Amino acid sequence: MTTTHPNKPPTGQAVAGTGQTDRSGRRGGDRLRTVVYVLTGLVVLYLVGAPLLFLMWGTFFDADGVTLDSFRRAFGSAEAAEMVGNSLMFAFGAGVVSLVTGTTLAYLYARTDVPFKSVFFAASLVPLILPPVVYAPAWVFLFSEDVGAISGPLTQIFGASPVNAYGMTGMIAVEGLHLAPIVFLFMVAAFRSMDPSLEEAGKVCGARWSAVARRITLPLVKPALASATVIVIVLGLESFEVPVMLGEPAGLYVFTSRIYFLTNDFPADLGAAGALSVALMAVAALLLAVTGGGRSGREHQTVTGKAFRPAPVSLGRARVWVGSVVAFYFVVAVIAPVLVLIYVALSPYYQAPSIEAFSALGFSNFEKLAELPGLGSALVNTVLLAVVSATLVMLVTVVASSFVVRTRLPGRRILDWIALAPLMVPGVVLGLGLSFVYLRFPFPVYGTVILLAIAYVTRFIPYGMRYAGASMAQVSNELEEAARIGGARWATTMRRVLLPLTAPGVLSGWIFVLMITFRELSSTVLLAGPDSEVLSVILFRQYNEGTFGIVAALGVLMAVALLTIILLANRLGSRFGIRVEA
Amino acid sequence: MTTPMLTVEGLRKTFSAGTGRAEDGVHAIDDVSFDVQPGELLTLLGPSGCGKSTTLRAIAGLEHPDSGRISIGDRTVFHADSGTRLGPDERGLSMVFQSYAIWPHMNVFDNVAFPLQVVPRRQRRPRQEIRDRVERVLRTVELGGLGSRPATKLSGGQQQRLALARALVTDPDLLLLDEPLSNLDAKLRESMRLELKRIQRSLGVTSIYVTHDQGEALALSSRIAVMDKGRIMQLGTPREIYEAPTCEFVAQFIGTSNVLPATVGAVEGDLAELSTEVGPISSRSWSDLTVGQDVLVIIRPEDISLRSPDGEGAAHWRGKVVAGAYLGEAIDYVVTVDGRELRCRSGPSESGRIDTEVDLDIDPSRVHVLRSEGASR
Repeated sequence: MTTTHPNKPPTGQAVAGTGQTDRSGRRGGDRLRTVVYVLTGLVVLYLVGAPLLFLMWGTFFDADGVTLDSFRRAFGSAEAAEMVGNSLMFAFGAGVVSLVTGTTLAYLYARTDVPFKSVFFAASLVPLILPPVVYAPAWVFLFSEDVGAISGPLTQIFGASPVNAYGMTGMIAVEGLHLAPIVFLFMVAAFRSMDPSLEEAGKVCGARWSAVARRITLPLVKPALASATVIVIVLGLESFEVPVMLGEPAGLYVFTSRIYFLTNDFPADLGAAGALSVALMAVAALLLAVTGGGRSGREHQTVTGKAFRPAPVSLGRARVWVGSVVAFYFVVAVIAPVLVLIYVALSPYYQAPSIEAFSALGFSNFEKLAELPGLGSALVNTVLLAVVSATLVMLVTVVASSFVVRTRLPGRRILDWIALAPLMVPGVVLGLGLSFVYLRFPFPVYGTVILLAIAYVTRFIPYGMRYAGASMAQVSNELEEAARIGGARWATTMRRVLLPLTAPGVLSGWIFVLMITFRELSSTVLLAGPDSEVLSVILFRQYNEGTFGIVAALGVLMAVALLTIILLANRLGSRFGIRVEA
Repeated sequence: MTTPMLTVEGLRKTFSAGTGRAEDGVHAIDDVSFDVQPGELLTLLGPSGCGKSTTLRAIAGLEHPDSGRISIGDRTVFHADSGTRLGPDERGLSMVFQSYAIWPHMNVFDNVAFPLQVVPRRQRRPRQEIRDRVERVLRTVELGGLGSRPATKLSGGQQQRLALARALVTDPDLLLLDEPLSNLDAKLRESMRLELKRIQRSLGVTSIYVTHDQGEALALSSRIAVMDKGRIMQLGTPREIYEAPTCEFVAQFIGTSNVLPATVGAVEGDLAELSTEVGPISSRSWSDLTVGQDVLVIIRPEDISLRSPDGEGAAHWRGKVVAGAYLGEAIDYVVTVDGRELRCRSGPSESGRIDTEVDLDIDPSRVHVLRSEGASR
């Protein structure tokens, strides 16, 4: 009798791995590997550990020793309670908006015959092309109470605008719409990996599509939905640009904006900012830990590995109005912000759209932008930092994830964990932690681009790990083992087999990190000095000064640059396609 | 006797069960020992999870066992006690993987040349010699002239040959094959089986072959080690394994067997009389029996002959045919005797037996008796 499943024993679970030290001393290749492994581990540990350690130190220690006074200063007032409430309301509100929008769109896209399918993925690229530092001002241009391109006329007609960019509703709407594409991509993957015959069985039983969606489809994607929920809520808690740009003018503070102002205002209270940071990270870590890090172990149950070609559900008569709702979403979330950015960028001064306003359009804002002191060096810094940081991130993470994914070396799980830890460190907290470190650091790094590079590399290591790790995991173990058996040592195996096979994924990761570095604000804003300005900081300062024309012009330039990168990347081939992921 | 090409002694390996406690671990291999003579093809045969692949990977250096010793020729490549653990690149052996592990980013030539290209510069052969050797081995596996073809453009059978060529190009002392044919369709598998045997014999390369397919094992092997739960249950030539299984597991795993509990009634000369729940039976294939002992009787389906009950001679047992499956080369029957189902196999020419009464004849020399605790080795 033959067995029908030639499965191999669970070699992946071995405890005693290949990492034991060798007393015969004949494994030169492996010694090199050990050295590289230890070095990578130390680099990652230093990058992630140092700012967090110094943050803790600055929070819990003062001249007299251990203290909790910073917590008293941070939380000991009525405003603090309000701030916590705002943070939660903002994160959960934006979470609900993004989950409802993203999941609905994903269902329509993956499962129905909804019209305009081609615009769905265009909309999903919005967070990459219109980063929050550009998206939030665009919403101000649209919906600021008196002068917004949309709410201005509404105010004139009705006396008040029903929508306002500033304040809690605006913050939730903007953040929610900005996070929706992340949910969308996440849920499309879940819907696609689901066996459509489960739905068909429901239909055969006589259920309408609404009943099928509610009773079968949604419960099946619940694990994915749960993960998406955790991710967007954590991202909402960590969001910096939207609360600081839309909340602060309305007197609303959340954790991140409070941390920023405590650090940046005079007199700065770094201890209190540290206390808020510790509390915020604890909340994020708790959320991630309780829910398994946003990863769901049950997801695979709906994935059978078969290639499905599901017949789309017909929306029937609802198709027309569902289509118009989708079109409305696209206009609000994508078209209107882009158009208003271009309009404000071309307007010589800020005014509601009108015939004479359009006739006055020109490039004066771009001229003013070009004359802005420091713009040239900021541009050079930004590009240089993006390229260098992306390269360093991928260098570190390719090596690190090769150890995490491809070996059984002891401590590799810890390395993985440390490398993913920056995900729960909000940018502004990382900036604070790094200033704690490098204000005390003997080398003159503070206020230079080197510090920014350190911040970016630290912050984006998790993304590099994800891209590099995913493409490493796709390479069959046997391809690497065959090289080892063929006589190749670790370095040769990396160079000739693993790296060539993972190059497309690594390149995608590089492009992704390049793009998110290009527009990073939340950690930059605390670390950039006069000699290390970058575009996002200039945009932020101009926004605070109310020079909206320059903000819009700079926003348009950044969006064009990011769009160009995406188009170039897509031109390189679908294998190098960019994925937007949280 | 010459030095064995491979000696494996007392290999043990425990996999963690994920609980962190050693005693919860699974014994992937549990005290495995064997040796392989030069030119031999030894097959490790067993169901999935029996430890055959782990054993092979331990020989390759891809796994490190917890204890034991592995020597290739007179060179110890692994010894748990002395801490000797040569890496897979230092063992000078070759391996054909189940998935072939053809590198998709290289062409056919580069895939085969790789083991020659990665040796340290001082020992590396000149470029022209590498080229010649690759061409020669490609011709051996009938891929001559395809060197510049992208490896992914080959058919499944060609990829299989390519994997074999890459393994043979270094003239290895020892060739490891991990279920190399399991990804091929049935027809191709059969022809590759013969091909593999031809190449192995003509090159005389010592080989270890891992498979769960008993047909492959019987056809290819010089000797077979049947494994179960991390242990070698029986080690012998294909004929010994098939005709004289020493335990119930081997009897059941190799081919199909009817296994009946029985008690020894009497022993007269070379004939043992046994009583089973379906009736008495005699055996000439036994050893060390005492009267009254509980044993197992093993009978292969093809050793039971069926005939219509016409009163000629004394049938061993009488039963009723409840099902039959026409296989082309034979017919498999299920016959119930006293409520117990027996598998029988007849020539393909007969018909009309289903739902009829039959007499079952069994040659005593084809009735194998095992001691009841079958699992003992």
